[in-house]
Amino acid sequence: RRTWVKPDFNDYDTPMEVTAYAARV
Amino acid sequence: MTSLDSVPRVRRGVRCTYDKTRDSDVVLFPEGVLLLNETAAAVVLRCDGASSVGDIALALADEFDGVQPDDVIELVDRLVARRVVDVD
Repeated sequence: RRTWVKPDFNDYDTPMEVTAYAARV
Repeated sequence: MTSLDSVPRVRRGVRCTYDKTRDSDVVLFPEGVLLLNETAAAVVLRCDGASSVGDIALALADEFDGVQPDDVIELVDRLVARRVVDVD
């Protein structure tokens, strides 16, 4: 069983961030 | 405002997948990308439009020690704000 950690996410929502994300897929 | 009785559902056009490059679960949607940590991914995968937030917290208690229902509620609220999840 794993230890619960607070659920969280990193949000990429600006065009530059999305482009940078897509470039590394 | 989300409560334990709220029933979250992933919106149309939103896809949950695993990104091998980053070794992370991600949510892809028209406006952007969310990189989820392990527990957030476990919550999103259970947003099926049938399970309430309380049901999800109970199901997660089988997998994780120390599940906090308030954390699940807060995450669902954030996902609703990002237009990734709808709540009935």
